[in-house]
Amino acid sequence: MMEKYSDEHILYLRELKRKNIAINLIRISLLVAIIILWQIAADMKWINSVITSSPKEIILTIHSLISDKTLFRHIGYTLFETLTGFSLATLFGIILGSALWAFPVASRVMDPYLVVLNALPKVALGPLIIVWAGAGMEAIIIMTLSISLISTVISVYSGLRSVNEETILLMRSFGANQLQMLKYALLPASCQSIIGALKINVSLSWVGVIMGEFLVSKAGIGYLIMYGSQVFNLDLVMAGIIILCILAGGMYLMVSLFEGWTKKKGWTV
Amino acid sequence: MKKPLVEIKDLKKIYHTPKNETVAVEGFSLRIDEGDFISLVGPSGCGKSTVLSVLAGLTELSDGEISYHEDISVGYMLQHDCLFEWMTILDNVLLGLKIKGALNYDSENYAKDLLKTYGLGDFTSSYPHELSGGMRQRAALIRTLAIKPKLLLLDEPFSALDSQMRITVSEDIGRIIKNQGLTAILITHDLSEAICLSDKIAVLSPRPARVMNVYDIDLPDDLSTAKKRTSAKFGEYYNILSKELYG
Repeated sequence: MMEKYSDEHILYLRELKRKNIAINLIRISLLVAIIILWQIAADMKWINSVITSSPKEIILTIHSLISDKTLFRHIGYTLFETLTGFSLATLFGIILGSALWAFPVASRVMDPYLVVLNALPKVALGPLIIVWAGAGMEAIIIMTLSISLISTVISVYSGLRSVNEETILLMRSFGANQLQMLKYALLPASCQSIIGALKINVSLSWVGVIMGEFLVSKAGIGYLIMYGSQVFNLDLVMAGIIILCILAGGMYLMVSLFEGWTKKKGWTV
Repeated sequence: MKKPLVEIKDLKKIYHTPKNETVAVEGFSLRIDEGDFISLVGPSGCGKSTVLSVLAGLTELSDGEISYHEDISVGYMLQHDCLFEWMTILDNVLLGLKIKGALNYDSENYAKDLLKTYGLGDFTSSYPHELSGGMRQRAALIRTLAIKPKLLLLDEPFSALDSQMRITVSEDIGRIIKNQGLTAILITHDLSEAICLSDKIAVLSPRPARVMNVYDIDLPDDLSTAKKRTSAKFGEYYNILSKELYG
């Protein structure tokens, strides 16, 4: 269907577009300015580039990692661990959150345990997990899971509880059982909370994986950063951090795209 | 002589909380005949919704008796339309059938026919946000009608609408219910609405709710709401009911 806009509306749309372009340009310029300033500061010896590295050295380090074909292996390890931990935490979080909603007695029993587990700094579990799961990829994935699972359970459970009473009444009037309520009404209705949990999980998963790789790994971006700091190669540490920024940003973008899709479906607003 | 459909005798409902107990309904008796359109009017918080909830089987009664004279299915319509924004209108309308495991070729066609008959035939694949408030309410009613209820419970279904829309939508919904030959119980705070839509009005006491009086309403069905509201009889009913309710 062709939409006919008034001249005033066309002007408004143009202004909106102009503002968006301006904001994006400022964002990019800010990044470019920081990079240039950083490089100039390093070249002019205003800062000690041995401990701060410099954009040029970081690019050379990434280039050498690509040349000796190790970069993609490290990225592969880290991505696999992160995505596995993230997916498992999301899946189990939704299942457990739904189970707590379906069984109110269980939720009352579990409440203090969830509060304590949520407050516990999960890094304290690291040594225990290594002893139980071994010093390998399994330990890293379990660590990631332990960091993001409880917060997902709590977010999903709160989301389900916040669905309005009339919706539940309507479903009950049709004789819906708990599973039907979750499937047809509650899970789609609390999609907003689930997406919120996913967004938090993206960062928590990265925390879990990098923490795990610091402790036990022989490969991965966390390992590169740890190795770089041990041999005092700050270029490698910075290169690792930059790569992490790109990967985490990409994953956040994926979740945002998923959120956009749920908006189109009417699951979120 | 109308056939009785449901008889409520001495219904009592007590809600318990750790701090106190509230008697919401006590000594509530009412007979609902087949084809009746009964409105329950009473002070706010008197326990009207509790009566509907008990009739729908969603709340257990504390004492008393409800006898259904035949095995009837009950449809429930709430204050808000509760249409699911992520489902098309057709999927929303078929929801009750799906949950009850009664969705088949015939029941789906029946639901589609209802949509067509009541002016939503072109909106089956639209989403709720694409419909006006009145159309949404009609879709919500069709979702309830699709399960072929014998008794329709309407818990202030027009209260979320603005006053202008409320008159047209209530007239529209009332006409559909009469067309389908259904028995309906309506809860409303709006006396005018109750008079225009109902055959009988039960005036309830302040909490705990019980029926103080039942009034027969005799306004011609073929009159529009606007004409009903300006008739002399309407004024008489309004005065009697106001006196009973507010003293």
